[in-house]
Amino acid sequence: MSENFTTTAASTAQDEAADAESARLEKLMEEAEAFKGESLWQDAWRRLRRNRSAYVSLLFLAAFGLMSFFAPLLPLASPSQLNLQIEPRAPLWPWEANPRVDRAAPDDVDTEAFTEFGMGATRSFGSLFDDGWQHRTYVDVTLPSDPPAARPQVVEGDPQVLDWIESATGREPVVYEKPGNVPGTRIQRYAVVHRFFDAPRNKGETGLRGVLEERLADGRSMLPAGAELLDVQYRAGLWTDLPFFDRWMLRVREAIFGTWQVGPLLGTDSKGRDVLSRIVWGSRISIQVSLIASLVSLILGVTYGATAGFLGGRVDNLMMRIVDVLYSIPFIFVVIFLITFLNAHRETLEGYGINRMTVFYLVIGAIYWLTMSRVVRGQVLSLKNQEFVEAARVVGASSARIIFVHIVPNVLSVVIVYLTLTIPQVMLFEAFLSFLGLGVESPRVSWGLLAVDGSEAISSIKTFWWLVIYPAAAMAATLLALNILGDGLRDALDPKLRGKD
Amino acid sequence: MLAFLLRRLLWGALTLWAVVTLSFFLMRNVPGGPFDGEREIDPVIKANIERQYHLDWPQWKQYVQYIGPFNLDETSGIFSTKTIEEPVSAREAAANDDPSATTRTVPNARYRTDLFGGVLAFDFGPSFKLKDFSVNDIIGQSLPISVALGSIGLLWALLLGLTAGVASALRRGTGWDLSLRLVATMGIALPNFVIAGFLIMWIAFNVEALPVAGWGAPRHILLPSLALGAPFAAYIARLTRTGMLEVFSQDHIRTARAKGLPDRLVLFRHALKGGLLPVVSYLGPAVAGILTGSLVIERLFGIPGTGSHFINSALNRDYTLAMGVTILYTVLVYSLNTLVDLAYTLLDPRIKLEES
Amino acid sequence: MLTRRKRISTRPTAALGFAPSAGTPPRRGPRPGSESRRGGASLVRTVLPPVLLALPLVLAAWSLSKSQLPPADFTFNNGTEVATLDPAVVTGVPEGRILRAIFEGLTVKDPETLAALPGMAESWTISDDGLVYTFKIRENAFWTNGDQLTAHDFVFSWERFLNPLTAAEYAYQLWYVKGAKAYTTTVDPNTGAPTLSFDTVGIRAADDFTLEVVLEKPTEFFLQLTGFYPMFPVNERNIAEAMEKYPGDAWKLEWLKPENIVTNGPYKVGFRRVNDRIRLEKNELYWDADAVAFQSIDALAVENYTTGLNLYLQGDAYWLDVVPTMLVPRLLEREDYSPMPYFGTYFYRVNVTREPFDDPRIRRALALTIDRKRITEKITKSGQIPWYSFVPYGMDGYEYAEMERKADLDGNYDVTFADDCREAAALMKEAGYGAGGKPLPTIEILYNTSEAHRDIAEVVADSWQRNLGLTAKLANQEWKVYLGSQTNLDYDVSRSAWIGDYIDPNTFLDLFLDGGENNKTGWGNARYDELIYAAKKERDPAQRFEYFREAEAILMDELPVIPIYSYVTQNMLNPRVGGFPGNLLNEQFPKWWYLRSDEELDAYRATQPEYYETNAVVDAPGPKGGIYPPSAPRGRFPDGDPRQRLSPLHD
Repeated sequence: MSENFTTTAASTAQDEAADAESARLEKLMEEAEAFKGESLWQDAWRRLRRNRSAYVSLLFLAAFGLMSFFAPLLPLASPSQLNLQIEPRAPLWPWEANPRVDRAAPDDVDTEAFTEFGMGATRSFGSLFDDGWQHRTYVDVTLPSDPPAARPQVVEGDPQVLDWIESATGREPVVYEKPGNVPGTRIQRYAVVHRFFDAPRNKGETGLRGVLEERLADGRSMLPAGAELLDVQYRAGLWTDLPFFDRWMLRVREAIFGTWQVGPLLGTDSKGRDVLSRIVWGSRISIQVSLIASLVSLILGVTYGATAGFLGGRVDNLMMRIVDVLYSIPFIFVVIFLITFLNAHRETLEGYGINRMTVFYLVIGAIYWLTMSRVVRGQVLSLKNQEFVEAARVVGASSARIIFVHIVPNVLSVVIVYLTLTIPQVMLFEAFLSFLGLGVESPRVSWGLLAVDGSEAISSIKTFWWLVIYPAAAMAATLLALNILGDGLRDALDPKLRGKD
Repeated sequence: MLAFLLRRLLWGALTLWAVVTLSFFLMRNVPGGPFDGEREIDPVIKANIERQYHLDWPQWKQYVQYIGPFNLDETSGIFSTKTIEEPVSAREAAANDDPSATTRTVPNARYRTDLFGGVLAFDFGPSFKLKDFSVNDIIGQSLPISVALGSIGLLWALLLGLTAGVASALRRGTGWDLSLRLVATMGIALPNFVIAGFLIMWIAFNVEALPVAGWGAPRHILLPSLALGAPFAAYIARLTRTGMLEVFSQDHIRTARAKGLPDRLVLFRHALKGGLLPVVSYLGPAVAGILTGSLVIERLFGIPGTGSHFINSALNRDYTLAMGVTILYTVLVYSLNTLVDLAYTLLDPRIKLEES
Repeated sequence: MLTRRKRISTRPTAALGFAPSAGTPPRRGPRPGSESRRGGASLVRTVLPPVLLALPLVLAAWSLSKSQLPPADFTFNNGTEVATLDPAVVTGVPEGRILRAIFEGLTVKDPETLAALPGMAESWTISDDGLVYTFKIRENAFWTNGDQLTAHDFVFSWERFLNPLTAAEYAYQLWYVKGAKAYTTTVDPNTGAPTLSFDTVGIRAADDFTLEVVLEKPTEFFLQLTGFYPMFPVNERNIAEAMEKYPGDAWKLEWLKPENIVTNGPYKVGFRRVNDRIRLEKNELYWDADAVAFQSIDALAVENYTTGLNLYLQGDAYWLDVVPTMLVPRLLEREDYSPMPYFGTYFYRVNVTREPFDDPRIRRALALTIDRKRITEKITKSGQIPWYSFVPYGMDGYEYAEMERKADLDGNYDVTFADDCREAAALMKEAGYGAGGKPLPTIEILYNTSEAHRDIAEVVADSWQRNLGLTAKLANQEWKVYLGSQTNLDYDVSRSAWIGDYIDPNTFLDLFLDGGENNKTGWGNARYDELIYAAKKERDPAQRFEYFREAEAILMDELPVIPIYSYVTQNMLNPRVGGFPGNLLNEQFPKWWYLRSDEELDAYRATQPEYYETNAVVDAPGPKGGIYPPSAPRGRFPDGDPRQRLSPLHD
């Protein structure tokens, strides 16, 4: 900040007196406003509510934001775990998509992914908590089969084996079985889901697995007659690096829904990942990026613009010239540079906590603050000669005080409107970067990435429409709502348009 | 006005210098060189390749050479001649016209004073990856294509956007208005590669005359420019609608109408001009956006414009091409912004350029 | 200061619909004293908008008028812009296709078997010790500038190729020639210029039409190499004239421009636009011009796979060399997509200089637990072959040394693969890892950023985690960075691939010589090196292959590299295209291409009824009457390859 903002010690006392005076005046003003019945914001809110489409948009966005934030609570499949299949699978109706495993699988579905134990027998079909989320240990046992096991299904399990595993781990395994490779046998898998405190991250050999391995040596003798221990496998969860709060929500989810999860209501992509889940989880990153980037642009832009506008004269001129200069830099190129640079120094930089997402926020925020600063400056220019500013000046308020206490709140309406329009732009920019292969990286997923996958699914040989339509619809609906809300806010806040509707 | 232009020019030069310097050093400090390949190159060969492109110099020296029209190459010995003498075999000597000659002349690969004329001389050097072309060649070939694509895209944007905006303002509150606004907002809300995908599926595969990709005939330009212009058309439609509505409510329009002027006349004579101002002011950002959007559209439609070099040159570490494209885009954006500002003042008498 | 008028930079405010309000007081009337100025300005205001609107149209028209081209007889997608047309400097596949169209070497390759056929050399003799090759240059060979092609052209071109100042990356391909390696690598350290005379190299023109090449040691595949594009000749006058004509260094680029370049192949360069196309035109001076069907060929540089496929489906391209993976299952049902074996291996390098990968047991455990079948069936999908040796599928007469395993691709794979996994787990334990031993290592799998590589890495990581209990992390790096990490041995396990330059185990096995530049694993084995060198010297083909087999057995025992699958081609080819037999190196020879007529297409389809039981007939757009070489009697060759009848080579 420049020296204009600092006050000399001598003037401090004066300021205080003046502040007291102005506080009194403000109080008077407040009383006057109270008398009038409503403040600017109340008025705006009333107008916004009267604007039905904007209000609906607001509700939609709020609901969507909540859903996105609480995504770990929802019984969705893992958005990142591969469940390899030949082709994307079309959406199923809820009653088809959600059979318990012990019910018959739909006939038109390739049962291979369904029968295969390792890569998540049940992921697409609900029923068992999928291993994208958590570490787990599988114990596979072959048993003589009489009668032969027809389909993969959830079973009670052999009580003896259950006992053995439970006594070793203190957990009750989920059991499912399939026909064995040798005719006349069946294979039962006892899946033990690890709790977060069971196995510290990346230390699979400790915790539950260790316990099981220790017992493995004498495990054979504990098996029922005719049974044979086939395998003990430890599977590390894919998304175990979730932040604490998300992990906590996952646990709540497990408590509520157990291992049940929603099937592929919106179909799967070519790697068997659930589109619905990807849309919901993708929204988290898209919203995160756009919110943070917009905030960065907000802070930078408002400070810069307000300062320039308020100071005026040469300083303003220079500051705005600088903005003009920055405007002309092809930022997309800078982004490409930075992202390649970052990729190359990934390890070093991540040591400092700088990852691709951070760069995203900063770079995108740095692009959009320019426009914000111009908007704010324009507003400040028109505000600063108004009576209330003059009044504050007369009573001796400092420049900083005038800017941040008197002017910025008045600019806020414009800024909020602009913000609702920036967020869609940032989302589109993220999609653009994803298209160029510079966006978020899997296993993370964002709407931009989904849009890219979708655009690749359009071809005249076969269009996997669910890969395009659903992500595009989600994106369009959100951005539409943001735009309508932005318009509504503008109408509600802009005094000039008041009373015209 | 002259003062304004001069000042703009000065700032432009400053901008350009900043951009060039920043990207030069950024680029060269990203790991991986332009000549790294899957197969390792013999060290002797690699050293010679690097020599050819000055990569054996310290970076500051490369930078000065890149900027300036001065030649930092040592001008004595092997560097000063286009050809060098090489020992010749007796066998070859016998085949020569002059059997006594013991040396022969071969092209001097070390000589390269003109390869790097320097940015100040408008010479961006040879491309490191596309070895048959200088960066000037590449830009010269691809820029007209991008310009054509971009300008037709802009035309689409204006045409569709203005029509939709005016129509929707005139029929405010009707179903027309609503559906036009909805379509417009969809245009803003979808990434342009998704729009392009739909256009290809719905139009190109059904209309024989419109090819799915490629470049060379007027029919090649329609779809990509439409896909490129669509988001901006949507935005312009919104701006026009707002602008028109505002103008409609102003006194002079009311007066004109009250005088009994036909609606069409009022629209074209009086309202349109005022209503279009926000659109003109949007042209600056729109042009910049179209430049960026063309990166995607050119890829999807296989169009050999400048945008296609943008990413590739960065990924290939094609230093000179990357720099050339960066400089080009900086100049384009800057001068277009200036132009739009000029146009704005010419259209709106209320606004002066700058206090002088 | 307070009355300063609004400056123009509030544009975005305007964009929000506030415009142009912000700082402008609502004064609308004419300002006093500005009448005269406004008169001119209003004219501008009337004229400007139409001009601004017309400008784009004019610009577009101008740009398009420069780029109109009549359609070519044949169009294919070359996938990317070729780096250069200079044969000496070229290294890539797309470049190779163009060069084979515009240049011709001493020998050419049979499009199906890749055996050497006469090209610029109409015949050759090999001395008994296999060291001296004498080529007889054909006397009816001309350059496009009318010059006769002579043996001196080859001496000039090869000298240029080997000269370190040319900086040819592929120079080592000619180091089989006596003295060549020394000539290239002995340089003045300051200038990079060669210090030896070219005299020391075993290449000389005995007379105008006789070229004599002396090799360092017998080299089985030397005749294949002479048909390899770096060995194509360039025209000396072409370069010399460019040097004279263009100031400074510009000749270095200019001699390759379509208007300047002089070539000797079946086609010549007609037009070139970066990132768009290279237009090839028939070279009437070519010695076998009667065997060349098309007047013009377009090689497109479309990089996006979907766009390429769209072009093909709309009939704007006859051939693509890659398709979007998502559609492969659908495409496999069509007649025009039929992958063939391709001489390349997809494998993982293991950094043996790092713990615990210095232990062969660990490497073997890693190799055993990769579920190759799932990778090829569910990820790559085009019929890639799960592979257990390093030399890829298709090497005739060579007995592969596969890594020892139980997994049985034809039998009960699940059960046998599970056996392997158990063995692997046992090996880990034996090496002292796991319960009761050292903690299990965390492995980082390095790959270059790409969806396909990531998917494979994910399956591999999954396998290792599941079967060995260790943690595998994926690390992707952008291509150039990835190359650096690999070279500097800065990785644990790294995704790699190698495509053969010629059909011989040597092109694969000599990678892993101790300290070899492309080894990149830190692995070395004295016995292995010995065997490879022995094979290089051996002249008896059977014994030579035996040496290679033994060497490969060592490689597959020690496993510094873990093979995953053997490549297949991904050609999407319009069934109308003839003279396109396909081969192991996926090299195509534009010279032989032609288009079938309707009747021939039907006849061609009728020759292979079994194929059409599983593959649907598709629309094959193209000229109904086909396009044939001028010497071809119409309708005479539906069932075979044109060269059988057309080329004098087969008389």
